[in-house]
This record gives sequence, structure tokens and C-alpha cells, in this order.
Amino acid sequence: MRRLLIAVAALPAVALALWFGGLGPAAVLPGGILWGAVAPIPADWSFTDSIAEVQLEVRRGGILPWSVTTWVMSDGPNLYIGAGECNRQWTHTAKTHPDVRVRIGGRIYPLRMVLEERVEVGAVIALITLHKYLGIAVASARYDGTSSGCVFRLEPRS
Amino acid sequence: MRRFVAVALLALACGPGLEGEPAAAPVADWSFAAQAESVAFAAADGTPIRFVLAQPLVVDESLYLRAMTILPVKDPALAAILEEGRVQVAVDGRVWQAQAVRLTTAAEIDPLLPELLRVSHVEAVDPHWDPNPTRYPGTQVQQWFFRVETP
Repeated sequence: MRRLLIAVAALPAVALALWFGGLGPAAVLPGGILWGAVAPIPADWSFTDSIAEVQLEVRRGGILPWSVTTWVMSDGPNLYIGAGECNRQWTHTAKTHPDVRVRIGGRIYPLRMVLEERVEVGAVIALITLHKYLGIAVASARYDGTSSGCVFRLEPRS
Repeated sequence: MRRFVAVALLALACGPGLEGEPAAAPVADWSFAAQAESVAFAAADGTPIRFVLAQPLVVDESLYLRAMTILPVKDPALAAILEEGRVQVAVDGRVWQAQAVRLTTAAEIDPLLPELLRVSHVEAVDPHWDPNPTRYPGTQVQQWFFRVETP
């Protein structure tokens, strides 16, 4: 009985250790804090063109790390991430606490997320997403306005 | 870890196979499937596609199946369809046994893309199938296209 009580009491500690100890996100499952060497912000994000997925860490309530796996789109000096469904925990969190950490190729980039609502940028992102992830090349593209997804621009923290 | 997640999803996704009244008459015009409330696909033995997205597309009265996944999972039903070239399709409670003719070339897939993009809420000009773009090596999701033909 005593061992059982100890085990039950230890569960939260184990969970916290895993959460803050680098149990990152996997596929559709969220994770905790992202570990890795912090890298300087590059002037050009084109190297991400060959990277399918990145990990994004937001801070729920500005404190609790919450990380997800997502797609990334680069347009030279601009970097974007998308959410197929904008009504997600992490998208809401990013709107209220925009300072995030992004792990790309094992390196951590401290960035700020800004909801991207410019139509012309949306057209560029649609074009990139179609080609990079779905293998569909298009001359031009734009979302028809009924999509439930959204796009965030990632900027250096000021 | 990803394999663990995939297996967990597999276990969670178990459910009944395709249900409905067998339909024997061949279908020349699948336009009704575009307005159907439910369209589902399975292997010829009735094992439903469960672990990848199975999306029906109706183009020029023909029915197409687009299967897609972002996860490193294998779907037994999709594997059987690929191997046997046969598929079950259920449309609003009627089930057909059909041939699944795999499409792989741009000439075959390009005509489907306007409809695929339309249902994905994207308006695009001149879409072209380019599954291995040099600018984006190895970043594409897994996709399979089939034309569904009744004998």
C-alpha cells in the first residue's frame, strides 16, 4: 500500500519532469518544452525549404510550455507557419502570448508570431504550401475565404 | 515515437467495415457521389480505409479516390487496394465492387487538381502535378490517386 501511495505521489513529478525535460511533440501529439541550442536569426530562411516539419513552442498563460509540430513556409527573408484549423489551443495562445520558440533542424529560434491577414501574403503562402507539401505547382493561388485555417508570420523579437 | 503514435491511432481507429446494400449495376455517371452525404472506401474484402484520409473526387462524371496522410502509417486497406487494384465504394448506403486504377502521371492527375483545390478552399490558376519539386526535396505528404471503375 505504501509503495502504491509513493507511486501515485510520484506521478505528477514524473509528468512534470517529462514535460519540462524535453518530451517534445510527436506527430499530432503536443509536447512540452523544446530543447536545443539557440541559433541566431538568419537573414534568409530558404534553408527551411527542405524541412517538412518544425516544432513550435508557445507558453500557455505566458508560462507553461506547450509545443506542437507544424508546417513551415519560407519566402526568402520571411518565415511563416500555418494551422489547418485556426481554432486550436496553440493558435489562441500565440495570439495572446506571441513570443515563441521554433525548433528547426534541431536548433532553437526565439521568434514572435504575428497573425498574417494580408491577402497578397496569403496568396504567396497558398502557392508555397501547395507546391511544398502537396506537390501541386500553380501559377497563382489564393484561399477562397471559407478556409478555417490561418497563417502566422514569424519575426525576430524586438 | 512516431511509430508508437501511429500504432496508437491505428488501435483507436478500429470500427465497423463498410455497410450498405450491394449494388451490382455498373455506374457510368458518378455525379451523384459529389452530392452524397457519405462516400467511403474499403479494400475488396471490406476492410475500410481508416488510417489515411480517403477523399472522393468527381470529375467529368468519373469517380476518383485520393488517399493522403501526413503520418508515417500504413493502411492495410490501402495496401490491399494498391496490390489488388480492387476497391469497395459505399455511397449513401449502396456498396459497389470496383476496379481501382492507380494514377501516377501528371497527365492523369492534372485534370483532378482543380476539383481537389476547389474542395480544399483554394482558387488556383493552372495547377500542375509536380510531386518531387527540386526546391522542396522530400517535404511532400504521401498521396495516392485512383480512378474508380465499375466492371
